[in-house]
Amino acid sequence: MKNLKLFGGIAVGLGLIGLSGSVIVPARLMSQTQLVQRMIPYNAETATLTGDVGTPVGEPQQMIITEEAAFLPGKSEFGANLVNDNYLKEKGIYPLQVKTVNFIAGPVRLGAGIAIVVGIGILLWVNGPLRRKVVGG
Amino acid sequence: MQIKHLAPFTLAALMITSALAHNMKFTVGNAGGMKASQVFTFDSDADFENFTGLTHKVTGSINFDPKTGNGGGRIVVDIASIDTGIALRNEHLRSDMWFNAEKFPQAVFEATSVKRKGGDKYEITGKLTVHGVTKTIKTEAAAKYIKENEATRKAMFVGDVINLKTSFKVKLADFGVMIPGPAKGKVAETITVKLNVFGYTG
Repeated sequence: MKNLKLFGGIAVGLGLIGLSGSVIVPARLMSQTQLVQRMIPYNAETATLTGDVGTPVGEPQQMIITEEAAFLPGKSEFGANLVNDNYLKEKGIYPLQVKTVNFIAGPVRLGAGIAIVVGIGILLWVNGPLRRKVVGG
Repeated sequence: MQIKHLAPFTLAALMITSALAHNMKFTVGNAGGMKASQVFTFDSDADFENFTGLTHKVTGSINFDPKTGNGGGRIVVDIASIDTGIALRNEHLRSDMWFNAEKFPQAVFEATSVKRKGGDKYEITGKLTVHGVTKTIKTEAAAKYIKENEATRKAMFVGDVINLKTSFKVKLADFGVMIPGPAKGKVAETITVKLNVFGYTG
């Protein structure tokens, strides 16, 4: 019974840590996100020739990029900040995507919620009236 | 008498030769010291993340008549050089689980019909070969012809220049590329292929 109580306590504790982490971490990351369009910039001569900035890589996307040097002047036609894809590759930067954060945060929240419910259930069972009723009865 | 009969054929042959003479041949590749690079990308938009496979190793040729907009061509992409930004994923992409770059080192698009839609816009029908499977696809493209001038020379192009851009969707399963179980949700079943290439007449 002591072990069960300990298990319940750990489940609630880990659940609370997981739940708060899955709320706080994405919230902090989201504050750094911006709409970004990665771009392979043309050199000055080719830009003059074509009238374009460069070749877009992928679609505009919400990303977390903190390196100021990665940004190119101007914005895309969709209002996204232009980012130099060559720079990201050179520096080995693989930007974090908002959809990845959400993809991970969702199951973590669910798992943490289940752990809390199960942990509270165990603690109620061990200490609470439910056990007294069943065991006593 | 015989000469009289041959005359129409000779005339027709001359007309065909004359028509073909307007079709300029542009070489696609990174030779000639040109400063612009060829770009082939494919975009995967999956639940977990988006990623792009990219290579500059694009070669081929484009036949194009700037006056009529008629043309054709062949573009070859080096599969093994495609970089997705993660070394392990590149390995998987080249492996026989995916594109099998050793057995099928190239993706080839061969234009069979080109129709001008207006301005720089074209409708291109052609045969796309990926992973040893060939399918007919239809796509829209923008082709910008630039006659040799100071700007083309500054950009280190030799001769006239053509800049071709196109984008189309490819369902991987149609080309026999099946997404392995562990990669489901991380790789899109349908990818968007994009091409931005420069050709020069030399």
